Amino acid sequence: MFWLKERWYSILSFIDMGGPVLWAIMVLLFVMWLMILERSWFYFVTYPKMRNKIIKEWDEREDTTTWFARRIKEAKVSEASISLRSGLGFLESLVAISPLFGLFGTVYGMLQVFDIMAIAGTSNARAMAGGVSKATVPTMAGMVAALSGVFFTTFFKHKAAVEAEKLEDRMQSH
Amino acid sequence: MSLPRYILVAFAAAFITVTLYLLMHHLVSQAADNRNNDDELPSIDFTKVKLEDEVRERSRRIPKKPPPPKEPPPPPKLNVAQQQQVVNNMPMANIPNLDLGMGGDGPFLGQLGSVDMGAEGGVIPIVRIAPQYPRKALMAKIEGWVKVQFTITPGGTVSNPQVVDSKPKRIFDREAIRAILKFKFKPKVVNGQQVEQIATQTIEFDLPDS
Repeated sequence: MFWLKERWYSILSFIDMGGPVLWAIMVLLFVMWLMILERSWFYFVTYPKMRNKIIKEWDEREDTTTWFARRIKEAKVSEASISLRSGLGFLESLVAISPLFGLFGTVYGMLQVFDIMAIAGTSNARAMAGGVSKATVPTMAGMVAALSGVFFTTFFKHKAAVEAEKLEDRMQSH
Repeated sequence: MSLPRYILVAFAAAFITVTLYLLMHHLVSQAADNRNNDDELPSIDFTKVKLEDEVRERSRRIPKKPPPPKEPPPPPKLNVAQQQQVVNNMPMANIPNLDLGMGGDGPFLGQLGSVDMGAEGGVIPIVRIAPQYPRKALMAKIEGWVKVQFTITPGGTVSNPQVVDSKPKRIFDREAIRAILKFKFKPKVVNGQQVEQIATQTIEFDLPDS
């Protein structure tokens, strides 16, 4: 318990260092990882079941060559594709937004630096240091958030496209 | 999509977020730690340093006074620079070598021994000042001379100078007068008395050899 408390305090001190924008980035990061984990779950747990079910249903069909059957196949593939790609756009936008949030935090920090410069003058580097860290830490946070998300986003996009193709190939006419 | 699954995922996401934040904090604080390690500055001692109470005097030996001189030194001689220079352009007495007897039947040559040297005779300048070469003449490379007539006062100074003759006209007159006024002459002594004397000097303006 003490260990957790200590971690929590270190996070609080980090947020204090970087300004309130870090809260926003934290929320962003949380939502992003929620999406990533949900998608991973979907791709590796839910979707295989769904795919097997679709293929099984298709294989059990008597009629797989008629126009009607082809339309049904198309519909199934489309449904699967939609569920494969659902949430990817949102995830991508989250990844794109996080560095921008970092920049926002930078601007906020710079404003503080200018405030300090207006009051204490340029000679007081020690007073400016707080503002400068407020300017640089959110940039880092935004970068880390984006970095952690970019790989998964790309991977999921690729996975969605490939899985849709594969599903169509697996539903053979017989 | 079931609710328990979402809760599980949410926990996992929260965990990842917190981990990332801890990682970032670690990165930042590591930099801070490095900085702290670097500035192991020499500690400043604020305690009062005890100063030495003892007043140290600088020992200095006073040199002995020299003994007073037995007799006071003689008063310094006035060293008046006197430029004894003989005038170059002394008139040469053009006396023909007459083979004359000293008897009473020769031609009368005037009183020997009391030769009147005229206005110019016996004029001995003590101080000669080189005249300033006029700029115009220097540039035109003109040489010449000025004959100046003036009065030597009993004090030896020059007064009332006048240009008698000059060649070329007027170019050197001004400088010649200016120079002659600075000349000093040996005043004429008549019967032990210094008297005024009218004299003539020719001041030559020669260009330095080029």
